[in-house]
Amino acid sequence: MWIWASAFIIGSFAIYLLIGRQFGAGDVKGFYAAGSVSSPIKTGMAIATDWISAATFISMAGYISVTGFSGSVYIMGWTGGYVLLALILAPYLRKFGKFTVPDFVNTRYYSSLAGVIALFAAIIISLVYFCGQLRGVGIVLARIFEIPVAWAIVGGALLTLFYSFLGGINPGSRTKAGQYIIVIVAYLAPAGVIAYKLTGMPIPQLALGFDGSTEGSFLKLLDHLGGDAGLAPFVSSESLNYQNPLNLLCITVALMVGTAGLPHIVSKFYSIPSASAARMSAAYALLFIALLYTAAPSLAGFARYGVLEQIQSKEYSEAPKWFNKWEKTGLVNWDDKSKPGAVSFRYINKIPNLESTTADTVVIDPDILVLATPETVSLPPWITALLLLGAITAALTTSAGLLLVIGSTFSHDFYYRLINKSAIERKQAAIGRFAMIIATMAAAGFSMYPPGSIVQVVAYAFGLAAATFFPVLALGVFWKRATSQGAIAGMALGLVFTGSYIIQVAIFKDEPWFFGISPEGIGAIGMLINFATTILVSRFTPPPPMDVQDFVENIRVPKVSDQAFGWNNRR
Amino acid sequence: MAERASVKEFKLYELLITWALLCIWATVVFVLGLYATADLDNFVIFGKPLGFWFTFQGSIICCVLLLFVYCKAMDFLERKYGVHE
Repeated sequence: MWIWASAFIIGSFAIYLLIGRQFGAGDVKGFYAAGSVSSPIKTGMAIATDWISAATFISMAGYISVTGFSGSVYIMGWTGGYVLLALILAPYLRKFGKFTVPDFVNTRYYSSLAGVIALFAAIIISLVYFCGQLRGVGIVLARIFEIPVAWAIVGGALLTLFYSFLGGINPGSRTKAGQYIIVIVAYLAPAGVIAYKLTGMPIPQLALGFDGSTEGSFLKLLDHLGGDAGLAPFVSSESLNYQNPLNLLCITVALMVGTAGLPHIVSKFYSIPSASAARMSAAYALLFIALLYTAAPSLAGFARYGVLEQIQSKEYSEAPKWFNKWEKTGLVNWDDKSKPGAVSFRYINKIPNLESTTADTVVIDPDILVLATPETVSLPPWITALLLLGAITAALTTSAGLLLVIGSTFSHDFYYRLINKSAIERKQAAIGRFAMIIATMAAAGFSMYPPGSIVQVVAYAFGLAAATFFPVLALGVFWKRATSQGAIAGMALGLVFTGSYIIQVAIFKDEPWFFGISPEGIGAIGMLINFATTILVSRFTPPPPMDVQDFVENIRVPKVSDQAFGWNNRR
Repeated sequence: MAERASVKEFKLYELLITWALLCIWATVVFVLGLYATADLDNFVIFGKPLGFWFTFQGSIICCVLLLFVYCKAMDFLERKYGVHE
């Protein structure tokens, strides 16, 4: 298997790097400028590539597989957010003529303090997001070489740094579009083969409604299987009895709003040449993302079926081969080998009244479920290898992009602009690389002992983005009265509240004291706090300068005869 | 002066489209996708309970359609008021 996987991965990354070299190595401007010259379709693909990360590819379907219906919040949150992004921000941002979110905040709110807070938040958000990606790279490498995941994370960290330094980060939208095609094929093809094998329906999006066995639709079979293992059902009418609806709502909102506030996604829209193209790009991006997301529920179902069928109530001696391979990574564990299998999943609580009476003997990390599924239905190794290729492409490209954002924000926006104005470019580059190495080390350490599965960790990044950036961006476009003092107070309060709640509940395992809202969803509350604070403080502080107000007045009109790019004084 | 008035009108219609689509979006995702799912499950679509299908797939399809409608509507509006690029 590892031969297939290595051949696929080395082959495709050689191609990415080659094309990347040919069409110019990655600079910061290039990374942000996803679509300066290309068509909305290509730009949409490039955005989709940056969007489909380890969280989507490796972790999401596995998480849904374990949590059942309530996992749907990730599906709705990570697609519905594009509507917010397209309607509220995408067509207007490019008028500011900036490349990064901190730059935007600095200019719109005419204050370098606001810029510094934004910069600090952008680095934190990217770093948390990066932790999730590095965990994904580690899991893939651990499976390929059958080594403990901690070592694989060290290897993955080196690989990510190597890939970033080589300059293959931003090969432009041409390679990005190619990477999208590889990722989507690597997801849909294995899902299709599994779907055909289990249900006789080769289109993964449709497969769950087809017959799985004599018991009727596949979906019924899943709920039956899951109930025995203490897992929540897929079908909502039964599942909602076990959930806090307010929490589900908050997670959905946090993920959606986070989408429209995530620095490396928002900045894609700064450089699109027209409002019309920006809207089209967002629409195509969502279309391309939807192809994967609509297949995820089926894959989630197949993963639950495969794993429970082969482990639940079986003896250790009859454990399947794939289980033994994953055992070497430390991501699955059979605690008491003398007892038959009773599966539980790491990070996820069982539902008390569904739980079976026998004690759990097997612990499985939900992040392996997607990658393990082809083997649970005994498909040939190259199908698993294809999935691993897609997974590492998704994780590594996103990691490299985030690392570049961290490095350039630190070296250019922070060091050069605020500390040492006279730094020459070489020194800036060195500082940037230093920041990238430090960030990678921090993320590697963190992702060896993550507080949750990849989707959960990435959801924290979304929550922080929702609580920090979205209100300030949206008010910046729609409300000319929003002042710098308001933005500073709003961002600071949103960031501190959300950040400390996540640390308290996710890392120090305190009770979720705010209406039982889990740390994945607290960003929604942080966002409300940010909105309220920004509006309130803006009301009581002097209005923004006239030129800022005039500019905001016209920002939603694509072409105004007497207004050019930048800050014209039109009195 | 006439130009200014038409720009004002354009901004009004733009806000109208944005708000209308946001309302549809919120209904689709939060009402049909989250809160009404249990009731929708009484119906069946593609062999799945409707509520389940809507949450996991239907809402995404609605969002995609909504964005393409938005593109068409805004392009039309921009051309009508001559503010397109």
